[in-house]
Amino acid sequence: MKRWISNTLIVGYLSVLMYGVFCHALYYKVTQHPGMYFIVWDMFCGWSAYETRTHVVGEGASGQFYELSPGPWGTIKPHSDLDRRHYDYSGLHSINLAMNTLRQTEHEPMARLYVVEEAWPRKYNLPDELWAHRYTEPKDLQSYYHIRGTYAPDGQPLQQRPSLLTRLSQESLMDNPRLRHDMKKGKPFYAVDPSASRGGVIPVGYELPTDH
Amino acid sequence: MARNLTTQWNEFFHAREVPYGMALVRIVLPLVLLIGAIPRWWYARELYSTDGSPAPLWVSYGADALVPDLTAPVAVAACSVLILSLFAVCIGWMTRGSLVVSMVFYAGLGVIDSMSTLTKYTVIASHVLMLLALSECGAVWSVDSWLRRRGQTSQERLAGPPISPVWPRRLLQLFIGIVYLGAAFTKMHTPAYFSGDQLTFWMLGDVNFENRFGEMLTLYPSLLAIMAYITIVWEILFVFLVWSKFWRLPTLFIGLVFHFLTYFTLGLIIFPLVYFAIYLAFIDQQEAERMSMAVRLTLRRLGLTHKRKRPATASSLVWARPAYTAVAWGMLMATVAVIGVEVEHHRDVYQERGPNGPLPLKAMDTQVAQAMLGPAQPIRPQDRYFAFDIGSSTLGGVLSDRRETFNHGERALIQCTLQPPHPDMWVEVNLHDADDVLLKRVGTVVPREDLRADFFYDLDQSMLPGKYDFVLKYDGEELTRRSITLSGPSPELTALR
Repeated sequence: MKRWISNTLIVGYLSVLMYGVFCHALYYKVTQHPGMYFIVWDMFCGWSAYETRTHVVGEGASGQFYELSPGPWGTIKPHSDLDRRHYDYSGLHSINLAMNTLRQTEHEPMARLYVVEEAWPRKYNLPDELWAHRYTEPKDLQSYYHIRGTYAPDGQPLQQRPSLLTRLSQESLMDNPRLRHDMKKGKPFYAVDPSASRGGVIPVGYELPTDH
Repeated sequence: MARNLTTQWNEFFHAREVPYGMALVRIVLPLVLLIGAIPRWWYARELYSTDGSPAPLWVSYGADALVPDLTAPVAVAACSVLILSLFAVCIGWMTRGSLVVSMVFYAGLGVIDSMSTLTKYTVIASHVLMLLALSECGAVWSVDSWLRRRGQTSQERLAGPPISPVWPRRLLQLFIGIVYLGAAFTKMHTPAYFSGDQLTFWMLGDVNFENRFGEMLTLYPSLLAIMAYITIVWEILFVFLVWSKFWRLPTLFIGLVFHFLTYFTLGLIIFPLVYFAIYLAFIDQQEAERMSMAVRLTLRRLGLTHKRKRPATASSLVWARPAYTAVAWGMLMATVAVIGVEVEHHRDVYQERGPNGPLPLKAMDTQVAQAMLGPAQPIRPQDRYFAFDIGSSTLGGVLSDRRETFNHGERALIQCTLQPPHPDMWVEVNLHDADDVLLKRVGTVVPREDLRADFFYDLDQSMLPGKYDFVLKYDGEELTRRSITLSGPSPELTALR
């Protein structure tokens, strides 16, 4: 290969990599384009004190509830013993799992579809012998359920909510009478969330009246 | 100065070598990637096609589609070709073409299924496949080189293996270092990383494979804080130290140990294997030749080698000509794609065409469903705290020892780690005696942004030897308690002396 071509490739490739590091370090346009996923090295960037699972539930016209994921034919377990639905951390794709299951199965008409998040503190993941080392009380796991989304039978969103942990954070913040009072001075406005594939609408902020 | 820099640049990027290191990466990496690719073939229709439930990456970014929608036969054909091309890369058959096909399908299928195919190791592997495609990694230890030798005269064979510029290997080495640098920035963005809390909760997670060692390490939070600092320092220094003659081996050794431990601590399998494979790019020509010689000698000692036959001449192997090979490769790819589509069709993944098809939905227990869909339950007080430990010293902001016995005159440090997200909390740690009589009360506000509250009690001569309890209370309710034993002479005995 000609020297100038290889030099161009070397400089170009290293520039792209360093641009990714720069953007990542300074939070610059990291979500501007899906291509950024290929140059931003944010492995294990988040963390949670809660273990979460996803359930995709269908409510039939008869009132019977159905498991819509995994489908009755089974599913892949991509990274562990957990099946695919549990890796939808954003909650954006679970409804696709439900729609596919409904397309490929025989069933009564559906009334509602739900995406439910289950969460429990990760301390309960400790095996019993390690639990006994660290805790004096018996292990008493309780799951908390939180509806992430309610959908019409055709998959159109009727109601979408942030994750349980976001809800808990917001509740902590809103547990403040002065703040609640201040917020009543404003009125909520809604914007279409561009990341929601099905035109989901979520509150993004509060618009304040301008007539002081 | 400029000339000196140019010389250094040329020596670093344009030196020529037999590409043994890249050939090793080429052989091992596809085998690792096949571990993930083969199981996904069974679910290709569901994961990647419009007849399934793909989870495209671009949806999360609110961007336009990067890849067109794939019908089920196209998705299955792509998956089949990917598996064959990875195998072809491994054996070095039509190496460059196979690498390009592998890279395009590997990354392409990944972005279609961001839920269960695309991970950072997928991205890393896509980069490496691209760099391998730019290199001459198929020049040695490959079917291509075997075929090429058959087309050479005996004089050409004496010239030895072909050499090529080293820059693709250098880019791969720099890539590894830059990824570590990026990972270090991620850690700098995460304050909980430095206290070991982030590691603790990752190790307690069950989203990867079993990681019993990691779960055990969470009992030693100060050790995790130390590991956190070592890791970030190593990640930053890697790209600078790995070129030093003195630091090269220690740096690589720490890297291998680090990735090896991610299996035991985090339950990762393919991620560390990908790194083991790409670390082979750090093997240079001389090292590869020494290792190759050692392997040959060992095999000879074991009697496992046989005398090499003189290769056939080119004229006797018409089918080995590049044009014939390329046609055979293309036909095999097409054949595998067609067979894959046919087999998958007959497999009837959704079981729609069988005697019982289409399958009925799985009914749920009504009580379970109602529990899921009922009103939100408040978080129980005992789920507000993560740990409650008694010790006497801290390291990295966390208790470095957990103790159950103390002597008079010592100070007991009590650390209460909370489960985020939590509200602003008033937390008490009270001292009770053996008869559960409250002796002292100490409380503090833990704001929602704090993870832990620290308390201390001086175990002075006013306390009799014996058993005491530290009781953690929140919202007037006891959450848990820890017992200690205070030893030493009682105050009365001391007075008699």
